[in-house]
Amino acid sequence: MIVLNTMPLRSQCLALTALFICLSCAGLSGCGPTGHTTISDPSAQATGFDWAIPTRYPLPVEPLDNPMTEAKFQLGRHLFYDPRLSGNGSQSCSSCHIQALGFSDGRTLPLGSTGEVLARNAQGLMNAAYNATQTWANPSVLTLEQQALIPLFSEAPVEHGITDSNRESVLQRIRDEPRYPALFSQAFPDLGDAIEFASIRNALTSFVRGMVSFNSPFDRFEQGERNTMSASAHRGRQLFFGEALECFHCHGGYHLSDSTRDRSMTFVDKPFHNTGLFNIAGNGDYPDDNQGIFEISADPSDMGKFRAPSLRNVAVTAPYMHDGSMASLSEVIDFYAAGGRVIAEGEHAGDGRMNPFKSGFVTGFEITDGQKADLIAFLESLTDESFLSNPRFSNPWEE
Amino acid sequence: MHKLRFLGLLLISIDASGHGNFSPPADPVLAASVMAGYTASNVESDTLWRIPGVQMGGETFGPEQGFQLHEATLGLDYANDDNVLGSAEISSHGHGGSNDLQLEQAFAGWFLESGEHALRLEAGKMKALFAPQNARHASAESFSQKPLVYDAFLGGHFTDTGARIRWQWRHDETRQLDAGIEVWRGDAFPATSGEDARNLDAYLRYRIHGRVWDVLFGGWYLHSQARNRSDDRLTSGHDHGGVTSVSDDVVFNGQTGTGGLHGEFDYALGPKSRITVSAEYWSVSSEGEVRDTTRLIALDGDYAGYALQGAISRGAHALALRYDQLILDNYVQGNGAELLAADAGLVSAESNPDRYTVSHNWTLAQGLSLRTELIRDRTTARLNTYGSLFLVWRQNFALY
Repeated sequence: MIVLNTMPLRSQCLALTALFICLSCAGLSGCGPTGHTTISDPSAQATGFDWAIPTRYPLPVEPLDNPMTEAKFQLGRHLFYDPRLSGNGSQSCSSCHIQALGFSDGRTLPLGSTGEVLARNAQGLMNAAYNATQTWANPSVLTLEQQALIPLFSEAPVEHGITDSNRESVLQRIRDEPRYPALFSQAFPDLGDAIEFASIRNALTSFVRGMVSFNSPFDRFEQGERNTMSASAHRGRQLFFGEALECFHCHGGYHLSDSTRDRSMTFVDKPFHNTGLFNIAGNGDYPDDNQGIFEISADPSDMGKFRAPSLRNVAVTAPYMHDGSMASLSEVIDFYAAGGRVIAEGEHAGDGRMNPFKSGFVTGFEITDGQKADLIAFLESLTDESFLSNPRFSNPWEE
Repeated sequence: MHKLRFLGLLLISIDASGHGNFSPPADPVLAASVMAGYTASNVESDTLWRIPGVQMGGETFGPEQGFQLHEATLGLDYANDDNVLGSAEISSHGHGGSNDLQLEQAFAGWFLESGEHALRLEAGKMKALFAPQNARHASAESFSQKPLVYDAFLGGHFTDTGARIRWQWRHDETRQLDAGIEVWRGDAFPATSGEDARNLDAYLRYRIHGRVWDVLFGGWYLHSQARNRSDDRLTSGHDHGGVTSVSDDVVFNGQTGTGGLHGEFDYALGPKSRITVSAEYWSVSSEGEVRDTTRLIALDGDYAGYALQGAISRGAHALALRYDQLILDNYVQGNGAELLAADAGLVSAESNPDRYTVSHNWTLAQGLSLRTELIRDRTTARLNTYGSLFLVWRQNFALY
């Protein structure tokens, strides 16, 4: 049993006051140093190129054997717009990648230099540097350097049409252009005679890699500007990033595609999706000339799987889908709302909604006309007008 | 035949044996508490409390506006003549508008007392004893919330399945030494369930009783190992209403060492007056990797935190003040360190997170009190000042 001393009330008050003063002083003085987070990511900002993108976005990966320089970018820009870089001198990269159309071509399917129709729609090139894979359906084409060789040299189908028999004459055309020797020597100062296809490829890819921009109304909204999107676009944004429509699962993130690679990543996913465009004869098949990554893997479950493209500038890159089979955003939304496409008759007849390899995110949804309009308004807010008219990406031969 | 008997005037500790007292009760004791009230908060709704600079987890939640059942517990402590003991407790804590009932403790044990020495062996689901306030209920404390160090480094409170051995050496009437080792399965934050998970702690305390004063001081250390630990506060069996989900694909792999020192001084100012001051200091070292689906970074976190607490009581009134602060240092390295550190909540704020709490407890009747709290909280980027009013009921019943 404790025998208590009795402290006078005045002393108790003093003790209380002293206690509170001590604790308050301890708190107010902020005892101890201030905590800090030190971040070490030496590669994050290491570049010799002015990417001119907001700091909140990670930089694209630059290949060790082809680091970005402004000289290579400018040389690549000239080559990109030069039809002499084709077997018959009629086709440049810009023939199928038109700046005003987000570097797509507005056609259902593009034409090669010899008039051959390609199997897949020409994709827009904005921010292609962030693609985890570079074509519609090839998991092994990871870099722009790999991709660039395909249109230049492919034989089936013919695109630029450069072959063993004409490659020297193509190079000679380039060498004969008075602007090029200086551009090449600036871009590749360590090479004696730089006008070779290896340096042409590296310059072209530097230009395409440098086609980055984050200046759409949606981007500016995400960066803190509050009045860049209409009320309708805001509502559409809610729909787009909501679970009811599921759009964001394949078209989310800053790249608006789940196939994204940047230098912040250690592990890079390379997803491909079957969206239920076809289900020929009910066994999941796609047309023989366009079967997605099944053509590479031969895995039956890969039938009809294509990369989800970035939706940047999507409002100006119609028509849509890998085969360009949908003319408008409205048609695309109707397609996803239905959960796939039904082809009633013909050689491709089948109910795409029932395709056994279809993505689990394409399950269909209900959408009103008003919501559809909102969703389209949001998709239109992804258009980066400054990119579409930026002289930096325009045809230098017209200057 | 057992009868339920109200023992409000008996000097049975509020925290019965299962909560830290060494000697089990002679008779079975049923302890019950209810704490409910209203919180007027300016904290944004639909957000999860994340203190910038530290990966949180477990079961810690920020203040929530409105009426809530803050705590409801029912516990039973039992011991027989064969030195066998048992303890069980169920509880409900309100978060996000829901109250889920859970088994807080259920363990059995054996005890032995011989001269100056006493020993207890216990196993089961238990609240850990290493941190002095871990096993205490808000209804039995001066404040409704535990110190910040518990929220930031221990997931609010630590309950795991395991075994422990406790030893007490009573030098004489006035001095005693308590020590314990606890080995856990590793289900509790900061560890994780499954392979390679581990929680292991040890503690030491020394208490000196004076004629009108009482001093306690001690230290402890907890070693934890986590594998793919995520902040699953929203998904681990709780329904938290419309709370916005945080990035749930960020996981931590590594080990955490947490050490603490604490002291408490209690002085009787008069027959009905006392003053109590206490302090806790924690030091935490967290080392490992943080990853999401695309990124991987190395984390070296050095954290510290302390709580200074004082209370004075006179008659039916008790006034208490507490100041908490955290110091959160992180070193992160790797591709995308800046982005992943931000996603993982590892970017420290410009000033140290801290919190003032002032509390007044008014004992209305035996076991029933009214608690008023004012809190100034700077644990997030936004200063939150809020108040709470709770009605607290707590009673022990002897069953015999």
